[in-house]
Amino acid sequence: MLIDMNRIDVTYGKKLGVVPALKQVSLQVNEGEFLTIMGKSGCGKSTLLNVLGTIREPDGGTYFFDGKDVLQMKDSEKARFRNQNIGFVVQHFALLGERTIYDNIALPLHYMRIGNREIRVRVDRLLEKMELTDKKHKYPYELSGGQCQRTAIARALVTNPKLLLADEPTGALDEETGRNVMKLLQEINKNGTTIIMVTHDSDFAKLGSRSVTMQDGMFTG
Amino acid sequence: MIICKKIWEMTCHNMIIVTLMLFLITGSLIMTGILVKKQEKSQENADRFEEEYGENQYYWVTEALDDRQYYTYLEGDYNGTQYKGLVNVLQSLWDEKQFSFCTCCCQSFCTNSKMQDIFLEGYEDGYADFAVSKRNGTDWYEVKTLMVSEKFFEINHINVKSGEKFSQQDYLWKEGEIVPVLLGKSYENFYHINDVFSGEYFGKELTLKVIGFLDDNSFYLSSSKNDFVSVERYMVLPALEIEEKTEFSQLLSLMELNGTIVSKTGFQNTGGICTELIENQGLKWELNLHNPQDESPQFVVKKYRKMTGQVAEQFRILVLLVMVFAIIALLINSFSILKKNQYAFGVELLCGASYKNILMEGAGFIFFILFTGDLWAVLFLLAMNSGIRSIILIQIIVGTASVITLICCIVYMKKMEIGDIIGGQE
Repeated sequence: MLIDMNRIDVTYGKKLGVVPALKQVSLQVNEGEFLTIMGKSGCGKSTLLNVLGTIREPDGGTYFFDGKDVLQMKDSEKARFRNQNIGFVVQHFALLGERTIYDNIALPLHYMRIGNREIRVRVDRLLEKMELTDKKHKYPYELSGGQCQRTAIARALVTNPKLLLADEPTGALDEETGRNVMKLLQEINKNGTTIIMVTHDSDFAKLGSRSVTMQDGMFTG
Repeated sequence: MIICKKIWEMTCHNMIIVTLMLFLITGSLIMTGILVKKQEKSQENADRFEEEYGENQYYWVTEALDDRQYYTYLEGDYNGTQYKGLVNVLQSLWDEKQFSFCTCCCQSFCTNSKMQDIFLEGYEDGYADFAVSKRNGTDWYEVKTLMVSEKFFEINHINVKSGEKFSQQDYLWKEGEIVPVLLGKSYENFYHINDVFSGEYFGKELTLKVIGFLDDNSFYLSSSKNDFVSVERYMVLPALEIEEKTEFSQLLSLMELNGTIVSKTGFQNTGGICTELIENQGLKWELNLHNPQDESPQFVVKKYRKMTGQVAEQFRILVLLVMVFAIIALLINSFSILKKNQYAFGVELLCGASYKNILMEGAGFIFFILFTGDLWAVLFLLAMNSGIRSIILIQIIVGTASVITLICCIVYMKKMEIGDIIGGQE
C-alpha cells in the first residue's frame, strides 16, 4: 500500500471561529491506482491534497507513505520527501512566469541537487515526450493552456515521483484540451505512477480506477 | 545556487526599488560612520583642550585708555611714537612665551553687496533689520567679522577645511592691498574661494578676498557672550600689521589689543607682564584683564565639552532617525516584493523547497540589499579615511539590523500562507 491515512483532522481559523475542513478522514491507496475525488467546492478535496502533499500539517491522525510515517518528519525531511515522491499538477498550472519552459520543468531537479548534465537529459526527454521541445526557450505566457498544463505535468514527472497529485487539472482548459490532458494522465498511470486527482467533472472522474466523493470534510461514497 | 538565482531574479525584477533601497542604506550607514568620526574628533578636541588648557586660566583683554589718552593717541601723536609703541606692544604680546595672547576683535564690515540675514550683526538676537541702512538710496549691510591674530586658531582649535589658512604675509598690509578672509561654514552655500567683497572696515574702504572656509564645529571663546560662539556665520580677517601711521591703522591697532590670554602664571603675574610690555614702549596705558570666577579652567573646559557634545548629540539623533527610517523602509519595500513573490514561493514549495529554503530566499534578498549597502558604505568610509571605529560600529549596526530583519522576515513569511496554491482553504 502506497498511502495509508487514518483519522485525519484539519481545521482552519483560530480566534474568529474554527472551521473543520477534514473530519476523521481515512484513505488507503495502492500503488498504481488512479483515484479520483469528487465533491462540491469547500468540501475539503484540496485540503486533502495539501495533507497528502505534505504542504498542510493535519491537526490529528496518521499518514504513512510507502511505510514511512510522514507526519513525524521534520520540515527539511518533508521537503526532500515531497521532492522525491510527489508531483503536483494544479488547475492554473503554477508555472513561474519569468522562467522559460525548460527552467520551469527543471526546477524540482535543482532541489534534488543533481548535476546540470543530468538535469538537461531528464528535461529534454520530458520535453520530447510532451511534444514541447520547440517551446523549451519560450515563457509560459507564450504558450496555450494545453501546452502550459503539459509543461506542469512534465515538471511534476521530472523527478519520477511515485505519486501524482492533480487538483482540477482540466479546470482551466477547453473540453478537447482537457480530454488530451486526461489521456496523458491515464498514460502516465499505466506506466506505474499512482495518481490522485480532484475533479468536478464526473466524466473525467470515471476515467480513474477508483472514484470517491467528499462532502463536508468526509468521504461519502 | 537556486537560492542565489532567486535572490538575483527578485533583484532584477525590482531594480528601481532595490537601487533606491541601496542608496538609502548606503547613505544612512555612511552618515553613521561620519558621525562616529565626528564624535571621535570632538572628543579628541575636547581631550586636547583639557590637556592643554585644563590647568590654564583664561583672561579677556581689553584696552583701558581714558578719554585723554585715547584722543592724545588718535589726534596728538604727531611723530607717531605712541603708534609705534602700540605696534611693538602688540608684537610682544603675540610673541610672548609665558602666556598665549590672541587678538579677537568682533566688529562689522559694511558692504553694499546684498548679504543673507544670517551673516548680519544682531541676527541671532532678532535684530538683523537694524544691520541694514540706506546711504544715497543704496542698502548697506553690517556683516559680522572677527579680526584675529595667528594664535586665535591654536587657542580655539579652529582649522581651515578648504582653501588656505592665513600666511605670515597675510597679516602684513599696505595701503591698497586686498585683505584675505576666511569664511565660516554657513558661507559655503553662498560664496566660493576667490570671491571678493568690497566695503568699509573702521571707515576704511577695503576689498576682502575669500581664501578658505573654516572647519565645521568651530567655536571661539567670546568675551562679550562669555561663552563659546560658533564661527560658522562669521568672516574672519587677519589682525593687520600696518607700518604706516594713518587714522585707520591707529584705530585698528588699538582694537587689536582686544582678545584672550591663556596663562598658567596667575592673574597678578600675567597683568604684571602686560604692564611691563607696555611700559617698555614708553606708554603709560593700562590693559583691562578680566578674570571672573566663571572663567575658571574647569568651567571653560566643561563649556567646551558641552558645546562639542551638543553638536554631536544633535547629529546623533538625526542619524538615528535616518537609520531607523532606512530599516523600516527596507522592511516595508522588501515585504511588498516578497508578497509579490508569494505565488512563486508556493510553486517552489510544491517542487520540493522547504520552508527554510524559502525563508532563506526572502531573508537573503533583504540581506543582499543590506550587505551591498554596507559594502559600499565601508568602501566610502575607507576612501574617506574614517577610521576603523566607524567601520566596526556600522558593522554592529548592520549586524543588529540583520537580526531584526530576519525576525521580521520569519514572522512575515509565516503569515504569508505560501502553501495556498492547491485550492486554498476548502
